[in-house]
Amino acid sequence: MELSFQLFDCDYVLVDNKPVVRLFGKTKDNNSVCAFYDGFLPYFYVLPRKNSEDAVMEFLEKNFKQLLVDVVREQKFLPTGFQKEKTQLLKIILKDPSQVARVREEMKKQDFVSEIFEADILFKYRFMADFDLCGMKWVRVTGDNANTVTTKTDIAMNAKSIEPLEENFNVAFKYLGVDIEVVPGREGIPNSLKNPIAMISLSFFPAFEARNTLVLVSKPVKRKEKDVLVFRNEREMLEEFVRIINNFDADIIVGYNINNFDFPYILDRLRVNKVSRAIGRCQQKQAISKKLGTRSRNSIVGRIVVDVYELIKESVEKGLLRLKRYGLGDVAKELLGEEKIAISHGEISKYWNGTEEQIEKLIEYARKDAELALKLLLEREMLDKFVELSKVSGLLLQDVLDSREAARVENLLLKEFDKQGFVIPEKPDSKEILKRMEEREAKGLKGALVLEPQIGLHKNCVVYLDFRSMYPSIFIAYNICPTTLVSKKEDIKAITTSFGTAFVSPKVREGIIPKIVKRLMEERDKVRDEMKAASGKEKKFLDAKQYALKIMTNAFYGYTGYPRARFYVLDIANAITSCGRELIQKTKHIVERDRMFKVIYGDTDSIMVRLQTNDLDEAIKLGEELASRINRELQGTVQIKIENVFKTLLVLSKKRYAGWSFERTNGEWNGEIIMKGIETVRRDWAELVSKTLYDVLEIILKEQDPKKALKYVKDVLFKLNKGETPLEDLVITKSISKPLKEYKGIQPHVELVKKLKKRSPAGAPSIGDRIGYVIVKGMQLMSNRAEDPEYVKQHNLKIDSRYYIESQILPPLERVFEALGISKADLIGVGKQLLLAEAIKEGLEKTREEPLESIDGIICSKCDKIFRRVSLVGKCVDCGGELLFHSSGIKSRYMLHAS
Amino acid sequence: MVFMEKPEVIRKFLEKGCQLDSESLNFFYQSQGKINHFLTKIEKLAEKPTTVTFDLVKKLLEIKEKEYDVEVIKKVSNWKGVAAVGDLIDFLLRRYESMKRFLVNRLDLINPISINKITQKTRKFSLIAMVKEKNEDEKSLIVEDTTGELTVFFDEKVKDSYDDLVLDEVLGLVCEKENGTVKVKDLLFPDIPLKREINKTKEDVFCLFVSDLHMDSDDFLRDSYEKFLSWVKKTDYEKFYIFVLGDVSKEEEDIKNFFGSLPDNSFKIFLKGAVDPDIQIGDLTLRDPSMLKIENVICLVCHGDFFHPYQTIWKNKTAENILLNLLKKRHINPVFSNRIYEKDPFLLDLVPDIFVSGFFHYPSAMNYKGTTIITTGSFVSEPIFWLINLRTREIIKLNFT
Repeated sequence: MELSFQLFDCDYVLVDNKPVVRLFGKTKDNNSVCAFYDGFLPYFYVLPRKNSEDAVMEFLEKNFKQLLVDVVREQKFLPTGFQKEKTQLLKIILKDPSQVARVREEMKKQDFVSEIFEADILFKYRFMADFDLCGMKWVRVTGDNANTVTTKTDIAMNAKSIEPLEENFNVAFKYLGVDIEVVPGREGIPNSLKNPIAMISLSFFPAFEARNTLVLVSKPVKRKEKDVLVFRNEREMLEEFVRIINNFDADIIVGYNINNFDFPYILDRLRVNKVSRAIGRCQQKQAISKKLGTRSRNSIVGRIVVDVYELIKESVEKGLLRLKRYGLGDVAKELLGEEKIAISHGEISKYWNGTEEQIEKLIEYARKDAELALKLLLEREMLDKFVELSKVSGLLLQDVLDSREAARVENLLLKEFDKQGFVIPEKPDSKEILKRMEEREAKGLKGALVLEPQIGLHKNCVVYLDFRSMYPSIFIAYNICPTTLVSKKEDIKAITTSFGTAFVSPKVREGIIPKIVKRLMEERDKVRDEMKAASGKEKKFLDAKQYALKIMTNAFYGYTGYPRARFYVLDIANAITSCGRELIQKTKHIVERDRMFKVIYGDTDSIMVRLQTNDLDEAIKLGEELASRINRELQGTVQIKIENVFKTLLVLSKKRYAGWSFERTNGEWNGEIIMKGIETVRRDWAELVSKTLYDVLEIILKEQDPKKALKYVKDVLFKLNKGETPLEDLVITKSISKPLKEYKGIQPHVELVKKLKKRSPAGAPSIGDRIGYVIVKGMQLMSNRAEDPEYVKQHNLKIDSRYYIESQILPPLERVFEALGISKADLIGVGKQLLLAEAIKEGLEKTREEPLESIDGIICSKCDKIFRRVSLVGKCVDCGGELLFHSSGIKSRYMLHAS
Repeated sequence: MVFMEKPEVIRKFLEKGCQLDSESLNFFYQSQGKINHFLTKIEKLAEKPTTVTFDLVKKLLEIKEKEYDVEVIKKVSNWKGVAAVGDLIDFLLRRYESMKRFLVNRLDLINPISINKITQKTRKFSLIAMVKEKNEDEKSLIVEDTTGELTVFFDEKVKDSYDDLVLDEVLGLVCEKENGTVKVKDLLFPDIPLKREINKTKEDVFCLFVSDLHMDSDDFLRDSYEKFLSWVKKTDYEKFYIFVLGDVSKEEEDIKNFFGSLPDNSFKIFLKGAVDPDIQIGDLTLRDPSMLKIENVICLVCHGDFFHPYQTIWKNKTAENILLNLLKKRHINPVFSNRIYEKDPFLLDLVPDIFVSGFFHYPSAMNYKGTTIITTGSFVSEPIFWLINLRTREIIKLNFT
């Protein structure tokens, strides 16, 4: 029997004390598969000290006879440093993968052991490397039907042979969206050991039993919809949940914050209710949830758990998305244009114990949550690039989702090193990591070159030139790899970097990393070419592929300088950055030879060159000529190209700039404002701030008129003072993440919740809710002046414009105007003068004996001159008048000093 | 070990048939590790007391009188209630007068005069003045003393020192009038004296400085923390002071558990940081900053949140250099923010032998004229901390990476 399937998961079980590898996947016809293979045993390598081979054999015979299968001599290259010849190692083959670590630890203590290799590689990845298998790639298996009840797959077979297969598509995955609702106890935080699950909502793709969604309810309620199932209690509901998972046989289980909440919670409730947790494709192995630091990592045999919340956060971190808030409702509204049903966390208990209508609404609320999570994944195609990363790195998809870049790089290196006859080093222990960090401290890891930027507004065109994959290109150009590192003065053809590290020429031996990087870059070019002719779904598939290739290609540099990496070699990381720095310096020199050009900024692998023209067509032409000249003079080491042209560019500091960027599409120029390192989206800002900042940047870049921008700010501030700013633009939102009594200090949103509880205990926000507030005028501390926007409207309260001016609007603008030569004082002066002007106009100015709760500064009672502080002289230095405290136009001799 | 509240401590003793007097309760609440040992000893007594007095505790546990010699010589003393404008003026004047005392006898302060005595004929003179305003573009200052204020410009030779100056610091300025403009030719900071005896203790006294655990942070380095606990539990010093300089955690529970993990035979000092809740814990709880005398060695201990503006002002300075700069000014938070105290906690009327701060998350150590300046790492970045033997003044680097 021969079968081909896409590989989802790999593990092993012990049968009669022998390991049997299990490969889980799916065929083209969407049949789930489990292929068993019992012909593979765990092994690792030992380098004995000189003349100590016998001692190793004796030791193993004496202490681990029961576990030992065989000891074989093998010739292998050692991982670091160029070697002309292989070294003889002992390959220790054991019976049981779970005992490898024990044997290794005992061997490490022995004097006759010089070094141990590959004893810490997970058995599944050992197997996959040896058989050249990759996660999410295809496998061809020949064998017989397996007569087993241990797996829950359509097909089970005993494999006789396994080999990789090149296929260029993915099976149609089955997705199950999961969301739970829990009614918390009095503490307000759900406790998985005490509080049962009220509802489990599910969404299916494709449909299951003609349903797209289903809500399971743990108490008998009247229901109107057919896709609601009710049960007598939680236990029965959980049993049905498990049945559905098995019958639907999902490949991918999706949720929003499922990793840290829903999934661990469900597992705990299954345990409490004594319901089987074997919800994977194995009858015996239970699903597990492991806590690693503050995060949970979950695994289900043969299935993959995807947390859309984590994918969203990662996309924001990588700059692929811009979001202010990460709540499911906010994200769904922003990305799908859909909203959650309006029930706050604090109301769930009320609705669960409420009327029929309220329970109905709660059911719809729960259903929507499961729907939205799945929709986000499918419509935004968020999983695609991880599937491709799995293929490129070789890691299983679940591990790609749960791991960082180092794990992906290492798995790729394991496979390649193995193929080339090299062993790989073990992961460093804490002693070794400490040694590496001390070495880094002593020697230093000099980073990339960031040129001093020319701060200010550049009104001529600026071309942004980018080195195409600079660090990967350096790996190739200098043949940089741990295996090509020349550590001694050898009589061999070598390339020396500007750092001083030398690597053998590729003609002697091509380094493994350069080989991998070259292959990945070529593959990426090929995919990008295919993309030009593709459209629709195929184009998206190819885009995910090229993105994954790009990520992997660029991961190697960071990896070599990472102290916890197996292949950490500080000299390699330093060599690469020194070559990078050299290239940037050389490029700057080439550019500035011609007086027409000026390098105004450079960062790692890109430079910005100011031209002496305002015309975009001419700018592109000059930019292209410049790029060609640079590429010629650098003799093809790396390639530089134009990334885009800025018509105007405002540079604030290193890594912070905003520009009016143009690209040509279909013969026409299309412009957009690009910002780097300038926050326009911050969760604790009012909308007015983001809007004002963006508008100011637009005026500066498009009209090149800083004075107009300053006037614009003035207008915004005047409007604010007059109370003409829409209230919605002034709302600040924060979430209630814990019980109120656990908050230390006085915080505006917490104080507001306390107020709201007093006004309307039932309707007040609760843990998990986000609360919006504005700051109103008053004599109390700022935090006590946070107020609900609705209440403000109803009671016609006045906004504290001083707070918004000084704490919200001015701080981000300061940096922008500073770069334009407008000082903070001028900017603040605009603000403060406005406030005083307002105070005088409204006739609020008076001196009083009541102490002020907070002060803006010191004012002369006679000439109204404002000072930052009192003077040593004790009176106004200009007119000799008495000095007083002032706050928003009110003067006093006294202030209340906060403790 | 899970930290017990006082009712739980009382219950534990009641289970053994004993009540505690208040002194004993406070003692065992602070030193929970000694409870079981004491209860074992009580069991062996011929006649078990119904009430445990502190004398009995001292007798059974062989606690020596005055084991630890700690004196708080300066602490944050808040201004109580209402402040008048005059109170702020007095506060600043006291600062000015203190600094003047440090500067007035300096021989290099040629012809010191007050501002109101400067005439058209005055050519070369010195001032002891407070910085009122800075004009970065012109590299000039408006300085003031008790008689008036003056604008001074910086000569080329001293232009580089301009950036080191901050508002409201007091310093000596050696000036010369050139074409109607007053030019600063030299600057003198109050500074600490060069020749002074290095204060040491007669016996070995070990001081451990640790801070910025941030136990509730996603970036909390649990492995390094465990390593630290492993190390500190094995310590066996006769006199061991453990300074926890703030930012342990927002959660009270974390702080209690941490202190509960520290060895019983140590004197634990907690200095509240920016994130820590208000909690009394350890053998001594302090506010930021405080000055102590350990035996005869003067320690200025800070969490250092108030150093933040100076990090911004002196972007290119490392943490220890920020502290050094401020030490030379004899005031560790010169910029006046209209906040006053009964006694200025930032003014260095006494010269510290050890000046230590957390907050920066950047470990460093240096010596300056006999004062050891150290900054601690953190358990979210570089877990490197310091141990000092006050007998030798040796600084030992502890790396828990």
